[in-house]
Amino acid sequence: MLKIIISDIRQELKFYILLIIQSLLAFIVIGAVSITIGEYQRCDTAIKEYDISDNYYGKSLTEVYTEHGRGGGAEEWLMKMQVDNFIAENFHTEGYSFINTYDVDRENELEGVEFVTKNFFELFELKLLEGRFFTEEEYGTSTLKNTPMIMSGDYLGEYKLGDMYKGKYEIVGFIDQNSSMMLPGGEGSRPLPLYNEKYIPVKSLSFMKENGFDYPTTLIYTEDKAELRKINEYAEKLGMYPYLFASYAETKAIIDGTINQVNIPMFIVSFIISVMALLCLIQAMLEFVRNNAEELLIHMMCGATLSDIILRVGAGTVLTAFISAVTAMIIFRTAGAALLISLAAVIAMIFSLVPIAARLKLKPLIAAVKEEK
Amino acid sequence: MLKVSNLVKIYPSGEGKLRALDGVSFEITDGELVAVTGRSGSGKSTLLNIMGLLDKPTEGEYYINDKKASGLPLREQAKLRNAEIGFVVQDFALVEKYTVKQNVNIPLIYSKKQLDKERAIREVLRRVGLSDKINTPVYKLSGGQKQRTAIARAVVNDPSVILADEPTGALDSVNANGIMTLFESLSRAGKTVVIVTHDMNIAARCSRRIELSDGKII
Repeated sequence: MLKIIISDIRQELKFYILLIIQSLLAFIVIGAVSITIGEYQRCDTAIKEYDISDNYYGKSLTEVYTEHGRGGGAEEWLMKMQVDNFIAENFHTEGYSFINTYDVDRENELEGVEFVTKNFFELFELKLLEGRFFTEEEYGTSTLKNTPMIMSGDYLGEYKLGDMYKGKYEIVGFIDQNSSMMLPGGEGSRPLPLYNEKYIPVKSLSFMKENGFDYPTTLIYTEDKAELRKINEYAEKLGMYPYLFASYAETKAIIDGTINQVNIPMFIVSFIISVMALLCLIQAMLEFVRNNAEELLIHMMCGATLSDIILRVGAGTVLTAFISAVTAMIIFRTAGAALLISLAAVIAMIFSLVPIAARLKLKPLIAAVKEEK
Repeated sequence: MLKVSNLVKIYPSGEGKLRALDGVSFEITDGELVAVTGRSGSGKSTLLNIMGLLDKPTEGEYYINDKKASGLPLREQAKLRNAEIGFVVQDFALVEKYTVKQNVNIPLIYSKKQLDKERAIREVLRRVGLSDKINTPVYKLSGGQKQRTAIARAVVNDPSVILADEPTGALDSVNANGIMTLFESLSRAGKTVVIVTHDMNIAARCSRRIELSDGKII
């Protein structure tokens, strides 16, 4: 049977290549749509998981520092640090701040380490795998000496509790790297993965400023959003474009709006393409039956069951779907698209059963073979 | 052994109904070479289709080797057709693009019998005199060679029954004689052979004749 299937495919090779291209194009669109929608829905789910006050605002990821562009250079970075210091001086903040490559003097020592605020782990519901969180006393100090460190769990194996990271920071805990962190930031908000993270407790504001460290201002607390106007006034004085601020509730509303906006046309397009792809697969099988009816009838006369014939007819479609599925898996790096494609192939086979059976069973086979000839 | 009991086949025809078979009953023992004769429209081919499990009777029962074949599910009928029945038809019903070997192999693809398939194919082709054509595409064969290929395919899975529908209808007398000789040898080897024909010379070479007229045995 396998030999016959391979022979069928070889004979119709050009047709199957075209079919693969056709179904691939269709499934790439469907895959892209489902991934886009899925991503928004993941954001929606992630944001719902938190019980964080709507008085916390995130700086929108659409921020632009100056006309040179976002994060254009050292000058822009320094402006941003000035704004962050202004925020820290005037508002209660939570979150993390990255020690970036512009801390030139400390680059080799500190790159990749993040300062976190007192409520950071609690707010984002990060779970410990081993060790402990930072103590109250470990926050707000004015020295880098005896600074503890918490790493994400993917470092387990490479480091263990009590180890000194680069000889400076004692590792006191590991958090679960399989969770993620969702910040309010409007449309661009995405769950942030926690791989390769190294956290140390934030120092005193004066120490941070003196040493040129960026203060954590990921979440800014205010009971009156209008107060945030002061931040933009300060930013504009520095020559920066204004920030957009969004609370969790506002971010959720934006994401929901985007889902609804994206969903309807995307679903319509996906539906049309899915139906066309399905019809294409069904048509491919029926075309095969039409072109090979005499041969299939002879096989049935010699003892092939209808399921043998369906298997043979469907083999090319299954192969087409398999190749498309593997390609889609590579493109989208997800099994979702592959499952979708496999499902389409199975549906196509089921839909094809009736017309194939009708074509091959309507009349006695010998008479049918004569007629086909 | 084949046994048909009170077979009736009714086809819808215009506003009325056509009784293609009307209460046909007979038995054929193992190794018999039987001719089914009659004029066009007498019900010969309908009878053969039902005996070959290609069509269902409207009424009546049909047994192959004491097993009731009529009324079996389609899947079981296909298995029984593969195991117990070989077909030979007037226009050969061969896949033209296949080689002789590929055509003869078709029943073996679906066979559950423990056979050395390669050996079985070579043996039947030797018996029908086509050993030298094993890898020849069917479209290059003469009519007589094609019918020999069809006979080889009909017997390769070692069925107990051979059903032939006008097997010599498309052949000249020399080739027709050769094909009949093959059927006679199959009969002698214990196969039950049923030949539908309107050629009285062919019928005369069979051990028994069943003549149909208007769907009835006369």
